[in-house]
Amino acid sequence: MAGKKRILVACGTAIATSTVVARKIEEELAKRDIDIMTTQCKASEVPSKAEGHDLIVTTTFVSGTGDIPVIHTVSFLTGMGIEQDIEKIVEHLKD
Amino acid sequence: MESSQLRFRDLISEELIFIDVQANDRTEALKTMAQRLVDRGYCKPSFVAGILDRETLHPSALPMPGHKIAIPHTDAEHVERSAILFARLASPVAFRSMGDPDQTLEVAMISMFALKEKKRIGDLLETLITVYQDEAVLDQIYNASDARGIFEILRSRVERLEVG
Repeated sequence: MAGKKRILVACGTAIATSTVVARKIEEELAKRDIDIMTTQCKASEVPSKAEGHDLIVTTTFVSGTGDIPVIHTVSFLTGMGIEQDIEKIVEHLKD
Repeated sequence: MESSQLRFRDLISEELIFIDVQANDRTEALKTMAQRLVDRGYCKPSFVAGILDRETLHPSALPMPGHKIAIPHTDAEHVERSAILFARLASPVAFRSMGDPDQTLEVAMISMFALKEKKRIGDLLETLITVYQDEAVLDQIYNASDARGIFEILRSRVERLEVG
C-alpha cells in the first residue's frame, strides 16, 4: 500500500463533532489494521484544505471538494450505521 | 482547576436544567435557552445570535436511538463561564437535521454547549454523545418528573465515563 491514507474530517467548528468522528474512524480502522491519518477542519475550510486527502468525512454540508470523495454522515454520533460507513470508507481508501 | 481537566460533571447543574420549556419553533427554543445562559452570567449577550447563526449554517439535530436531540453550540468568544444547559420542551419543535439539512427532526430534548475552553469541546461532546447513544437513558431523561431527576441521571452517567 502506498503510504498512509489521509482523511479530512469536517464539522462547523473543526473542534466539536469532527473530534468525535475522527477518533471513532481511527479506532474502527485500527481494528482493521488500516493505518490512516485524520485532519480536522471547519466545513468552510474544506476547499482550501482538501488537497492531498484521499477522502472527506463530514457531519455537515460541505462544498468545493473537487474530485475527492465525500461521506456526509452522523452515524459516528448516533451510533447507528457505523458499520456501513466504515465499509464505505474502507472501499474509498482502496488503491 | 486546569482548563484541560474541565469535566462534564462540573458543567451541569440543576439550575441549568429546564423542563416544560415553551417554544413554538426552533428559533424560539434556542433563543430562550441561550438567553437563560446570558441572564445567569455564563454568556455574553452576543451568544444568542451566535447560537442562532450557527444553527442556520450547521444544523445540530441528531436522530439518536429512540429520540431526536439537538446539540447547539457556538464560538468560545461569546462565553464568559463554561456551562452545559439542558432543556426539555413542552412539545417538540422541528430542527434541521445535521446529517441532511433538507430533512427536519422533531426535537424535544436539547443540550446547549457554552464553552470557553475550546480544546475541551471534543471530549465533552463525546461524553454526552456516548450517554445519548443509550436509548434507555434517553427514555429516563424524557420521562423524568423534574430537573433534579434529569440532573441525577446525567451526573451518574457521565461520572461512569469520566473516571477519576
